[in-house]
Amino acid sequence: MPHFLQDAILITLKVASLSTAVSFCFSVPLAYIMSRRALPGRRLIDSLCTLPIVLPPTVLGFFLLVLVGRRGVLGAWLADLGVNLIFSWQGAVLAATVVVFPLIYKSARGAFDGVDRNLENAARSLGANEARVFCVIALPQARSGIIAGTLLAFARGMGEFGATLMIAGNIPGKTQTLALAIYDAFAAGKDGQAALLAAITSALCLVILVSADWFFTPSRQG
Amino acid sequence: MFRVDVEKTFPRGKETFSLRVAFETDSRVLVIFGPSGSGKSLTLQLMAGMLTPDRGRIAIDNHVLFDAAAKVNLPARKRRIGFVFQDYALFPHLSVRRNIAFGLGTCPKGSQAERVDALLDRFDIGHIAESLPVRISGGQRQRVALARALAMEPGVLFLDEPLSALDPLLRRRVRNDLLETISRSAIPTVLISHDPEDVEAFAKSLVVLDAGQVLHTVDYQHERTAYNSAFDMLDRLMSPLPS
Repeated sequence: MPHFLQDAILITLKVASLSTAVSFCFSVPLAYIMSRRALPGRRLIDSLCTLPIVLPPTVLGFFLLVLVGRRGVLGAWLADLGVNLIFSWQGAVLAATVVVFPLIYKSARGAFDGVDRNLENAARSLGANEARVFCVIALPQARSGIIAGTLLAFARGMGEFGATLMIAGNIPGKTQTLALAIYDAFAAGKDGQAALLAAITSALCLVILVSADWFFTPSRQG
Repeated sequence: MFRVDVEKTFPRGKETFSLRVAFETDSRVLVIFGPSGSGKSLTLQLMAGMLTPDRGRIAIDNHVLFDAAAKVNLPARKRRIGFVFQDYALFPHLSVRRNIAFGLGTCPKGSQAERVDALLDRFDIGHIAESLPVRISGGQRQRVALARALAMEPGVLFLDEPLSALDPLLRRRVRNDLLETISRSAIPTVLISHDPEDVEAFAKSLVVLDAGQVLHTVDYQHERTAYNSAFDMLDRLMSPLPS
């Protein structure tokens, strides 16, 4: 396997899994809070959380540059902390995190909305605090929706292109994911290489989705 | 025993529904009777801390659970109220055994298992201990819900239409079991129902609700003697007062 190809696969998997994990940690609790509490401005928060689905990824990339770029709002502060997100794989993770966030948020929100409140009330009457209600009742009850959203997010993270390109650039062996490598190969006229990369990407995504489906099919949960 | 004086306004579609409920009773078994939509369940949920009243005061057995003026609002988990829901609200992803053990979270494992075994035995559900709630019958679900509520040794038992989900023949048998459980454990109980037979079987005190208001608070055992049947009495109590 050529070196750049191996790198691209590893970077793609790293970016997709880390961005999915980070998104998950923020979007699932937020979805629960939004589903349960009548917060002021909840419609606005809900819309903001959905925005990355409809905005072109390049717009997201631009906003992120304004935020964390070297001359961005948080740029100087991040630089003082020794963090540089621009042209780094961490930047690619940040970009993909924002892009996949709504996919988990939306499905988790719907799943939590569908949980019978009386189950949570029953748990409270049995002495459970809010953390236990969330972990032992709400989360397991909403699991199918959350898993579906997480898989979708991972698959979307594998294919992320625009926002990643804006933030992290396209540096082979460092920030070049499969999607970026395909564009590179195609632009350089290496059609064979582009075809190979495309086939690998498709196969990888298919394997992930099929195995996830196999793993999480309800009939296998007993 | 039960001292309630609360108000809450709920949005109900485009309208609002105002609940203004005030009653005081001294006997240990209270039945709240009223037609569907009269606010019975809401009253029970307010008392259990699952909803917060807009204003008022709730006290059970001289413990103040809620007092808007004094800014007291005990969370549901600290009210020690065993709650049996109309649809039982058994946790669908947990076995019967784990459902019953849920309220015993702080007990050491050994004594927890002992307590659960004793309850499984007492309610005759030992043979379905490892089943999920979907796999068991309606009558068994009712017993699991009751065992789960009693496991944590609550100070009060709340029963929200505990028999309405059962078919009529089973209902009678389960009603008798429930009566026996309540009298044997001598636990103060609030039961809500729209079935006069439940009133007849359980009520020591009776609160009659309609459209979010208390129509009557009566000492049932005492006043029932003036009527031929529970039906007659409730019919009279529900009809508009002669003016």
